[in-house]
Amino acid sequence: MAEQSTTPEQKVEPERTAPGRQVTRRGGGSQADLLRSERGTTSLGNAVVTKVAAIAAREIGGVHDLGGGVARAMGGVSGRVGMGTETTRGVSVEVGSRQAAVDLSLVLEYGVSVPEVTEAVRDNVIKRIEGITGLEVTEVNISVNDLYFPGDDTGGESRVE
Amino acid sequence: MTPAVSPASSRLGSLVVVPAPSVRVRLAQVALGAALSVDGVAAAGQGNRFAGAVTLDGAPLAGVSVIALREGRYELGLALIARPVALHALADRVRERVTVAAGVADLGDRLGPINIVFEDIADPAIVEVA
Repeated sequence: MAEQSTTPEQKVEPERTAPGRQVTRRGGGSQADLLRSERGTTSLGNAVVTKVAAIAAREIGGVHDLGGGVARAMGGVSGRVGMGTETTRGVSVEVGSRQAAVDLSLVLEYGVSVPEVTEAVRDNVIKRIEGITGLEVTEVNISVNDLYFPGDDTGGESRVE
Repeated sequence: MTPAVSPASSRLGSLVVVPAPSVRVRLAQVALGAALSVDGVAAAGQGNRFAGAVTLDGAPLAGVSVIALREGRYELGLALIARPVALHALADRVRERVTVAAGVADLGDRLGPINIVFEDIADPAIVEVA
């Protein structure tokens, strides 16, 4: 099935619409955000943003699963070897000191409106990440990799013995 | 380290010398316990990025580090796994709880900055089961 991508042009401020995404980075570390005060620092791991995005996407009706075909096929293996979990499959984030950008691969249920569901996913991901982490989300790019038909999970009868 | 009980023996048997935990270890235990009691904190993280890891009876205390500063104060590091709530507000609540707990344990004047790392978000499905 052909891949469909949507990009939220209206959500990116003018200075960030140059080719390629521009996320303000604080060099080096893997931590997403760092707030310093006299009482100590608060920092977030990249896994935090990834997990929040994944949970937020799954909260929207019409989203059957996350990840592309290969990612879903490999999901069980990658989880067992510590490369990711079922929850965060299909989610890629780029995180800076104040901003984050998110790429999502979705499998939607057959019959839903792709534009409506992807827009709802985008809104919810932005709302959740900004609410939970305090990071500004510059973009949420969504790839719809497949559609799920009821009965896809139940293997049909084999034609051969 | 000052022993809590002096070594001695008598007809009734011998006393086992149990070294009293150092301020550093006590502070780590108090801080970790206080942090984990805050609503919104799911578990302690690994704290792999921390210097100043604390060991107790030879085993590392996961999710906490204590680094000595000047004037007898200690800088705390807490690595936590949180539930999906506003994390910066949660960090403030953790600091408050740790500060109060340290005061109750008579360690308030030893407490320095409290650095908090949220390593991950607890999977909602796992949280519900737990």
